Amino acid sequence: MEHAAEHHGHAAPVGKTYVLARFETGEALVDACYKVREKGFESIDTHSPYPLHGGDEALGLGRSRVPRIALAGGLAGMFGGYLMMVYMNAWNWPINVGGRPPHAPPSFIPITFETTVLLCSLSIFFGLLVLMRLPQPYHAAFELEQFRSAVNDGFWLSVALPPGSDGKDAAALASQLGAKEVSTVKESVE
Amino acid sequence: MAAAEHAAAASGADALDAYPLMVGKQDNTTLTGNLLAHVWARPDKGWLLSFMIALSGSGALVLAITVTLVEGIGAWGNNIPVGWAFDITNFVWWIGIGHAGTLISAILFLFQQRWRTAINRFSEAMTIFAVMCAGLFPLLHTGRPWFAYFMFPYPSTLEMWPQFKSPLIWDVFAVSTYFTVSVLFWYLGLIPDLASLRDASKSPIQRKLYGIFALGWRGSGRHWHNYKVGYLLLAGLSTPLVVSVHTIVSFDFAVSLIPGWHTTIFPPYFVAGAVFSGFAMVMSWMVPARHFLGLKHVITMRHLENMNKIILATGMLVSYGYLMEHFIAWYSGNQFEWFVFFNRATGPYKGVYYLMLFCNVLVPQLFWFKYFRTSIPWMFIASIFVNIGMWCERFVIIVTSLHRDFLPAAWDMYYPTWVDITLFLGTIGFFSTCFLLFLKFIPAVAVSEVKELNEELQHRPAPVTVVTGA
Amino acid sequence: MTTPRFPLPVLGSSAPVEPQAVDLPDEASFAPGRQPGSDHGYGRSYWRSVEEQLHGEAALPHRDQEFPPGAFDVPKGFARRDFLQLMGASVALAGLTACTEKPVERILAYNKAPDGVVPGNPLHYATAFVQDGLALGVLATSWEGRPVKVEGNPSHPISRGTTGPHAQAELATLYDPFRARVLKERGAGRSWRGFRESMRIRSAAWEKDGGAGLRFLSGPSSSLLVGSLREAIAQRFPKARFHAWSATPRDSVYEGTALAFGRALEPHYVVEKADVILSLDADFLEARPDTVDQNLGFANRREPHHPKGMNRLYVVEPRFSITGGMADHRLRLRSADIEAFTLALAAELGKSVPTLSGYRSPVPLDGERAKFVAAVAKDLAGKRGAALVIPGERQTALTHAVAQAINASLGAIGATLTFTEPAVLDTASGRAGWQALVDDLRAGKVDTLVITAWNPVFTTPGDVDLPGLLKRVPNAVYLGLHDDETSRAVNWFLPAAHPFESWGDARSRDGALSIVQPLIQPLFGGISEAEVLGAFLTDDTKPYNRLKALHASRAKTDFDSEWEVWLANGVVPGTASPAVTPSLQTEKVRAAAAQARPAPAGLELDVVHDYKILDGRYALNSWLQELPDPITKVTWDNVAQFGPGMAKQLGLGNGDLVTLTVSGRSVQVPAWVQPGHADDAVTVSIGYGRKQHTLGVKDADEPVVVGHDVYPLRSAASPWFLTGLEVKKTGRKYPISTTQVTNVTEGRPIALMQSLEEFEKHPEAPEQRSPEKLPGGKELEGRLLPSVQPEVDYSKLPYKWAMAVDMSRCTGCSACVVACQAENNIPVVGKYQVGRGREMQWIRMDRYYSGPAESPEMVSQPMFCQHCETAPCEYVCPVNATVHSDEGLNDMVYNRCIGTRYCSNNCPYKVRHFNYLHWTQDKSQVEKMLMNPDVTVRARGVMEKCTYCVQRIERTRIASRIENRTIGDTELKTACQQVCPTNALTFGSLHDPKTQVSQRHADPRRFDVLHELNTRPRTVYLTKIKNPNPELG
Repeated sequence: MEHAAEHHGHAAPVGKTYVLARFETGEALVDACYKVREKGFESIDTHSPYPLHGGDEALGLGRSRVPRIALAGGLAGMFGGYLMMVYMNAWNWPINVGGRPPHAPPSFIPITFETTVLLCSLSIFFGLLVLMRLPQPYHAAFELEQFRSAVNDGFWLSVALPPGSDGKDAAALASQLGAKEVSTVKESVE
Repeated sequence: MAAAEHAAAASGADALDAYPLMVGKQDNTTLTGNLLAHVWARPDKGWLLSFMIALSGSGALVLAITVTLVEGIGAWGNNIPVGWAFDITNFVWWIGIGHAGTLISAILFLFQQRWRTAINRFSEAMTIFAVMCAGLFPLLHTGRPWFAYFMFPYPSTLEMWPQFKSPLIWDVFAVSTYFTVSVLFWYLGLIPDLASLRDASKSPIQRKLYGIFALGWRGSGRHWHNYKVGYLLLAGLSTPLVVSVHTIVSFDFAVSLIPGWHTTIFPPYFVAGAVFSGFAMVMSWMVPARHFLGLKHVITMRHLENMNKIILATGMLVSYGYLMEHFIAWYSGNQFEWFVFFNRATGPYKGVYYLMLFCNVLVPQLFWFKYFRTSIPWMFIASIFVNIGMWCERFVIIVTSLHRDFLPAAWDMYYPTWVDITLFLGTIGFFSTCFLLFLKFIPAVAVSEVKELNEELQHRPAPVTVVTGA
Repeated sequence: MTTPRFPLPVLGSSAPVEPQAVDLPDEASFAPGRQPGSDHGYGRSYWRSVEEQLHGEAALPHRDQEFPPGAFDVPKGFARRDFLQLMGASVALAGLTACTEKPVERILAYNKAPDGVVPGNPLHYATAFVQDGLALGVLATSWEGRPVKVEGNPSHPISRGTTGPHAQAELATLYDPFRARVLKERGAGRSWRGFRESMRIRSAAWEKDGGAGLRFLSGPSSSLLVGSLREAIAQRFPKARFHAWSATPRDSVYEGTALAFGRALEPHYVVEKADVILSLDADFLEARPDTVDQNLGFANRREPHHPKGMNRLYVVEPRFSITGGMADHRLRLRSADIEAFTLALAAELGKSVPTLSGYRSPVPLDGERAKFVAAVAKDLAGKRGAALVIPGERQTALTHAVAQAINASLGAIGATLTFTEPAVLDTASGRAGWQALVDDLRAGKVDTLVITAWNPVFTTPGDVDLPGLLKRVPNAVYLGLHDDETSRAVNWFLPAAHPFESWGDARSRDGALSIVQPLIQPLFGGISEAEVLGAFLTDDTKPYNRLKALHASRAKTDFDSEWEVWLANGVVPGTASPAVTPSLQTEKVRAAAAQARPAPAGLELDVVHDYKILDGRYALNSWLQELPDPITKVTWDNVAQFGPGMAKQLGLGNGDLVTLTVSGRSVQVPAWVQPGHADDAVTVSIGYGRKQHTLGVKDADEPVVVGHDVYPLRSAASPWFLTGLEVKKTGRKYPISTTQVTNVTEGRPIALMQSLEEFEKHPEAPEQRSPEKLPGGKELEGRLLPSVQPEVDYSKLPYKWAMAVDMSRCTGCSACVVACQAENNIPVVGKYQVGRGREMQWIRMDRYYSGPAESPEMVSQPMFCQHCETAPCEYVCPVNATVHSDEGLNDMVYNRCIGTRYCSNNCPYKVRHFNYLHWTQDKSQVEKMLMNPDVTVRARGVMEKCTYCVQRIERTRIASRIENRTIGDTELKTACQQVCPTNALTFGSLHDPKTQVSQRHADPRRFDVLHELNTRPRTVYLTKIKNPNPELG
């Protein structure tokens, strides 16, 4: 599972360890999230079937970078599309077509629009995949069978432990915050 | 448990909503159960039977395509002056049908229409399959399909480029863009549900397969963070896109100078028509689907009635389009224009014309009455009529305008051949095949969105409070 | 297009090769589809595709096999190379073959090129196209010895560089793969030598009895060679008899002149000099070898600017003819009543013209007709010396005689009418000539009958049972191009050589002699008429030598050099017959006229020859079969034309199958409602209804019946019209493929027609067509509408190609349609596909009626690509497959076309044609020889249309560049322009204001079709001007 490690940008031979705690509801999870962060735990994540209210704030996430990616893609599509047509019809090989001018801006608008939308959408989609580091075939959390409820009806808090920590403190904190079940998973590296 | 009463109370509470968005008390567990149930269930006889019929339809399509490629377009009824007939009629019809999907998923999403969530997945799938059928025709209708790649601006040593003033090239770009974006949008929305399927699956094979498509999604909060924005942006893009696509399709006609084609009202009139036929098609599929897949609790009468209202509204728009078309023709004082519309009502194809008026103008008027809006059989029949009517509309626009244009000496008649008809029915078969497969292997309802909706219905506005369990 | 002309070099120096008809094992190997000359069967090209797919017709034979039969045979056909080898061989072996009869060994390469042959450059050979014995001088364009196009011979008095449709389509007959190729005795293959031998044996007996049982039945001929051979035979067998037979005889012309002037004469109508013309059922504008010259003469006087003013044409006829379409006044009348009409006219004229006194009509004419007669008489009388009455071939001898009497009395003779001795040897080719033969046959006096006339068994009238009579003839010989009805009724069948394959001579109507020189080695080893006649003589000199010997005396200086010149020019100088001024036998005519009886009342059957296939000899010519009839626009069929009134009365519609019964004989024909047709007459055209192999109908492997045979209705006594016709509806429908379903312009200003009066009031073309007068449109250069588009500058290049069509001149004869088909390799699609609106002819001859259905006016408008400067077809093409050239041509790039058909949809003229199927698939080798190498043969799925004959433009451009000059005005002609008998089409560059086309573009009558669309067509039209008689107005 080396490549799984690469995904996390670590070359460490020893896999990461996570503490996973399931909560009854989304609210409980969000609340717990705040608490755990106050305790100074880094790299926390929540797992839920649908986006949680206030989830982003709880995790302390800033503005998404997706809109900027979209804008870049859109502009590329717009100028690329228009210039392509000007080059092909008016510059590289102008022909008398029905007495119309070779460079006909009104006729070039529809395609310009389409290329804008196309490149914008593609950049959004693939930008997302990059940002979310997907596809990701393996994640340590899946070592825990119960965790599979995370996409159906479970609300999970995951804390990635710093190297050396056994995670007891985090586990204790979680159950103290009302986690229904708490367990520690280790990334398999063989 | 408390949440349950909340749900019931909440969904019933809104005095303005005659019908609830969701029936009965639901929680994430039950929703996961019953929304995925039809995927796990073994296909019943009904499904198998309809799938066989649909599959044979696809077979007919393959046959018709083969004949067309071997014999040439001569296997169809097209001639001079009627260069386009069933081929482009079917193209416009299918594209139009596709539009409802994007509209429901994108525009209603932007307008925060809650009732959309139960039906968007369904209609997006429809969009994709419809565009696949539509895409067939521009390719097949060319005399030499094996050279169709001439239409793409590929670099070659010949430096032969497409001619970007032609609406057909606009079509190529519009349709391919539309298809790509629809697929991306659909798949993006599908990822969480695929993950849900993966983790709810019993057998390891299912887990593997769904796992591959789920891309390793695990509902991470950091993922949701970007995902929400990306989805919103795609929805925002799809909205102008769907309008542009049918506008460009209408340019195929509006940009020409054939009387009956050359008119500025086409873009809005075509878009309205597209939404009209699209909603009708969604209706024709949803009524049986919600029954057989046991989705009545999430696709409620509320959804159906809202859609009927839209069908009524767009139907009125289309009728207005007809009215203006005829008025402008008369007002222009152009004898060629006059003749075309006179010929539609009195010429050899008048039957199609009156069928169109009946289906598109009269039938939707039923939906002024709540009884028809909320009667399952009536709305089903009406939706079928609208589908027929919209096909007739395209036929009337294309064939009756072409078969008698400027010089009477060049006038001629068009009669379809068995290949024309098989090709059309074949695409319906192909569409149904894809759709039945979709209904079998993918949740017909956006599960995670419904869960979110369910959550909202229970706590509005949702405060961040600690709920200690029982 | 004038490359130097040479006599055919191969055969120019010595005798031609003996036709190669050798002993052959069996006939089976010659069944169509298994021709040794073909790679895989003949004539599947046009229809092997969609009918059987859609209509479930019988599957093609050999479908079960992967490869068509013969696919594995070594190609042995007449590919161009083989043909060149053949020519080379003939060059080398000509000398040998002159003395002995060795089969030619086809092994020599084309290494000894004949003079002047540059591979890749066509040569033009002068020869003659002969129809019913009358010659029309033509030039054949030949590629490496392969004729691919026929043009009129400018130095020929009748042709003047133009032809009719038949001469254009003749090559399709020459290259017809279904031509007979086996010499047979009772169905078994024999050799030409064998035939001669058997005749030699028989001649012993004839020499004893002077050939009492020897009879010859030929078509009308003007060939001096044939004449001399007949004399020679007559000398050897004094009792032998020669008869002539034609299904379309001109007997009445000669009988009429005989009655009027005492001897048979050939009238020549100098139409150009006539101010007033009356046609008595005479279709003198039909462009046939006897009338081509009259087209131009007539058309010149339809110009309102002509110094002598416009002429006025009155037409009296039962059916609607081309000439009727050009008439200023037209009276529909039964054929039987036209005699009475003529007498009434004479009587009317008699009031003022003493020599015409004493005539009276057997029946008094009623109101409308009386008024017409009075007006015509007044008009004619007022134009003494410039009046002309033309009687039709279908009319009685008396009508002709009286008509000539009127002409003589009005001082026409010498002015608008001249007479010469007839050029044809057989002035009696109808009943008179043939009744004697029939009697002899009945009496069993005939032991040997040599038939060189075309298929008499088929063309014989219904009341003569020729096949039965032929059974009684022990030794019947038939020379024919095809294995047809007659060949099955005789015991000797000789495959004929096409006139373009053999030496001969022929005279035109005015007597001018043309040497008919072969353009190609006999493709199927055919035999010429001269050779057949030669077989009855002791010396077996080759026709070529006989010909030279015959005309040797004509040479003034050195024969051989003059001979070359004759061949090169196509006309032997000084051979035109001198005009004779006959004296009218006034009393005789008056006496005969007194005998005239009123025609019996009742419905009349009118039999006419078909515009396209004549008496049926062109029935196998797919070009002519697919050519829309100039009037009905029907293809691949003949119809029974009913007047609108009669059709209403009988409740008939187009395509209703009716049974026509006259004097006991009946046939079934589909009905056709023809505006302007006489209500008390029904017109049918002959020549159809043969079970035949025809390209383009359906799978040629099984012959099909095309049209309906109406010969059975004919009677020998009165071949052209019979009263007492009964019509019965069968209730069945018959599918008819027509190219035009709408006959009126729906009030649209498309094909404009004006009276001379209106024209003189305001010569401007009608207002709505004239852009300057459009609201807002100020005086614009080049009559352009204002446009937001920037103007394209065409001034940079030396030429600005354009065309102009003078609708005043166009008769709608459709010669241009066939010429275009021949020039541009346009495929034939067959009846079924025409019916589905997929005809491919680049020229659509639009024909519109105006006025009441009983007496409509007709206007013909040839419609082809208008080469619009702002072409709607171009900007909608997604792949730049149709774009504009710098000289203003609307170019079609076949290789780039992907066939979206958007261009055709957006073409307001609908002049683009789409290859819906692979029309040119599976062409046999022989058919391929017909293709013009200068023009691409289009594939399936490609759009095509008129190119202004761009290949001709380029050839001329090359020629002019070599000489470092610009292209002259008359130097470059498109195929349609070159053939047009009325000079209605002009083509050229607009840069030079002196060119014909520039002048026509500047003509006040000029208008652009659909001008309001601002397509700015380069092809413009000139309004049709009519010159009605105010008294009849």
